[in-house]
Amino acid sequence: MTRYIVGRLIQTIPVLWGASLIVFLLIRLIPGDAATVMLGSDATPENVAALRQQLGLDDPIVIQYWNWLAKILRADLGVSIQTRQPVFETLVTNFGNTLILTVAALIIAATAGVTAGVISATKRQSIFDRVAMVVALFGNSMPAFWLGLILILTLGLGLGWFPTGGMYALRGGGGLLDLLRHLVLPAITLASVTTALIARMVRSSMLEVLNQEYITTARGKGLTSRTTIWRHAFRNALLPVVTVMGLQFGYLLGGAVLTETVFDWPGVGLMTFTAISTRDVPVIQGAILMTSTSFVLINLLVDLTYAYLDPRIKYS
Amino acid sequence: MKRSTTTKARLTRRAFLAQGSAIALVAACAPAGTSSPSAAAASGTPKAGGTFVFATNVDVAPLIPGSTATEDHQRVLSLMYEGLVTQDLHYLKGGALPEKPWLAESWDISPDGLQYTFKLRQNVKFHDGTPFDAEAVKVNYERATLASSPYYDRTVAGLSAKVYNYVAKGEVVDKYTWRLTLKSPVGEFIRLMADRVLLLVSPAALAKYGPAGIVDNPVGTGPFTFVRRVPGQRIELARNQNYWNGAPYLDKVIMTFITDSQARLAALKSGDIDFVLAMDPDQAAIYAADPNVNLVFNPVPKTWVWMLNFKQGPTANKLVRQALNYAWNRDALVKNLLLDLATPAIAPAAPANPAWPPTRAPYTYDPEKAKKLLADAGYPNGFSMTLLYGNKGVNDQVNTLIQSDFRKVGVDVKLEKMEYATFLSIFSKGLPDQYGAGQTFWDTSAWLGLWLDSVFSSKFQPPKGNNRSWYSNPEVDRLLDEARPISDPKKSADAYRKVLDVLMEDAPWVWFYHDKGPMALRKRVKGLDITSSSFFDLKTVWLDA
Repeated sequence: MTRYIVGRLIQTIPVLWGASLIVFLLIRLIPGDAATVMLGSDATPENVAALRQQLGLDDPIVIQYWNWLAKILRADLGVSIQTRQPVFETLVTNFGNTLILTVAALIIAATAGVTAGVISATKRQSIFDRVAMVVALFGNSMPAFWLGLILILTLGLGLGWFPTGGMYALRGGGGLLDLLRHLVLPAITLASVTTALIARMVRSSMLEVLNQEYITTARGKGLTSRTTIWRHAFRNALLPVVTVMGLQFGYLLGGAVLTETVFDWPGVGLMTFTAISTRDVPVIQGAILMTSTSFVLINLLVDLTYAYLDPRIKYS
Repeated sequence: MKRSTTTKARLTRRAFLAQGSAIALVAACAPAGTSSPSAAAASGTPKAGGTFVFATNVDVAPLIPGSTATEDHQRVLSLMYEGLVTQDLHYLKGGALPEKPWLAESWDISPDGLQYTFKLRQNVKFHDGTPFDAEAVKVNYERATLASSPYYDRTVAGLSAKVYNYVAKGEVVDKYTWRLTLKSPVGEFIRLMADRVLLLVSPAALAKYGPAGIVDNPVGTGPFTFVRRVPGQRIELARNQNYWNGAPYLDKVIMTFITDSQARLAALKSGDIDFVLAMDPDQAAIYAADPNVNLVFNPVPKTWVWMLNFKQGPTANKLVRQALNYAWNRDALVKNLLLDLATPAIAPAAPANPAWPPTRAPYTYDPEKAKKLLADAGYPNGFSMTLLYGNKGVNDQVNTLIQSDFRKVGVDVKLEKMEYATFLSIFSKGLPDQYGAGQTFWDTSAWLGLWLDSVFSSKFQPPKGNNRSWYSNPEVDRLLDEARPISDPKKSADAYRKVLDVLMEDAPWVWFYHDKGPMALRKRVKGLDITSSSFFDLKTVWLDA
């Protein structure tokens, strides 16, 4: 098991290196650089050239990449070109913010999705099943932008229950309660698609399991309906669901940018988006590196969960 | 992204149905640069305290004076840092803002127009306690001009060059007197000195943190002191209790960055923020309808233009360029599309500039005349051209409307939109041959003559300057040379007006409109004067409850 984990971790190194190289080259293939953006539209090419030199953007690409890589190996992600703030600190803060949002969304999605899925499967063709699946289809098709705006208009501005954006109140904000209040709307928005996906997945997976012979056997042995469903059927139906949740976790981490934009949530998605439009290469590189690392680690975690859920799976 | 546009359109239509023409009324009541009693002077008894929060759409560059020339950046810096000269940010009579002393108490100009002697304010201290004096000015001057200075910064030098290129020497006369000697007379030099590239940094801070280290430790003389910056989120400032001109009312100022315009709207309506500096034109009605919000106007002298290719293709022909200026429908653009939130431009410079308006009659919408001019130019069946533009600060519908107007006179425009940084990197090097035009905004707030120089003088074609349409006319060059040394404001304006008149005839660009600059301010904010400048004096601002 340990050998397996260490092996997998070693495998992540070329993956991350490849990702960093591709991003580094892509960013430099598109015209325009940080110096142009920073100086604004009134700057002359001479001004831009002076800043380019100061920022080291004139160095050969290999040297620039090597400098970056050498720093990474010393755990130094460099300094943002646009704000001259250390990339690592900003990234850790923003990544933490995205993680809070993502975990909250995943908790909502898992709770609501699994509950709806199991009930739908056990009460197939009932009113609940039909309504839940229509809602799921709706949730799956709604763009985060639209749902976010509707929530802001109704629960935020209309009823005034929740703040409309940000992570803490700008005036006198702070503390867990403030954070939770700010978290509700974006977390629901971000969770919508995943909830729908999990609900549908759990339903179909449960239906498949419920038709298996061992379930009939369990029922024949006189086990209660609850025990049959939760102990025998659900655990076996969970395997594909865990895969989906793992993938969704990665997707949510990277794909939270729309939700972050609508709710002005200071996460890593919004930060990357801004960095790309301002050609802030150190920030883009750092953000991609961190997101890819987490994606790889989550995949590893999902694989390890399989062994727990299905003891027949062995790692070596 | 498309979906969001649809949503926005839906919201907007609903808002319009509900609110009728509220926006047109508000806009009509507050035209560009009009006068109203100074809010700072006439808004009740000021109260101290409170946090003022304002939102922009972009995060700003490093908090280092002189490191960029963008207004968002300088707006933040100007709260902490000051220069020798400023524009009067409480001047509400319209037109160009007069210059006024800032850290300089007064100045003398020698009769030959070469020596500018600044008397500095005494008893001014930087936030770190360092006294402000002529030595401090010298350190800052050398930071931008002297490569051997320990504080020299190439970027600052590059951007300050638009001022210091005219300067031969800077010297300390005595503890509170600083003198600049120019290479040749420049009439608008004091106006140039108000440029916010020249904000002054504490010499002690430069020594302690180094020219790069001041980014985390901004130390100026301004009414607010730096508290902290959360990159990508906000910058927090606190009242400078020892400000030389009396402490401001506000306890704190927070600048926050909200990229999405809908999120800014929601934040203002919910009261999380007090002031929104950028909005989509179609949101103005929603802001205006909120009982707690005032829609205010900040008519910065900006002109939205297509710079025509003077070097290459049909637009190299004067008659063609004139035809294009006749070919677009002003009413349709400004009233129907921009909802009266803009005024049609009659010249490349804006009303807040001293030489405006030109004497030559403006172009009007006359498609028949345009067709005739095109025929005279040898294009009776029109021609095709490509417009280059970027995706930031652009209203796509405007380009589309103009495209359809031009098509009516036979000119087929292909719109080539690019990601902003890509666009800028191409356009700043001058319009490439394959493009007939490049679209941009020009901001002429700080000066006029030197702006005309930088965009129309043949000496300032890229890479030297921003004459990106490759315009070249010996008469304009001569008139600019003649106007440059004139220091008498009226004579200077007259001289530059002659330049504008020639430009009107030559039509190197098509000039479309000036934004009225709608902004939204919560009614509890008092004492904020909004002029035609991009900057505000928050020292006089206070919060009512």
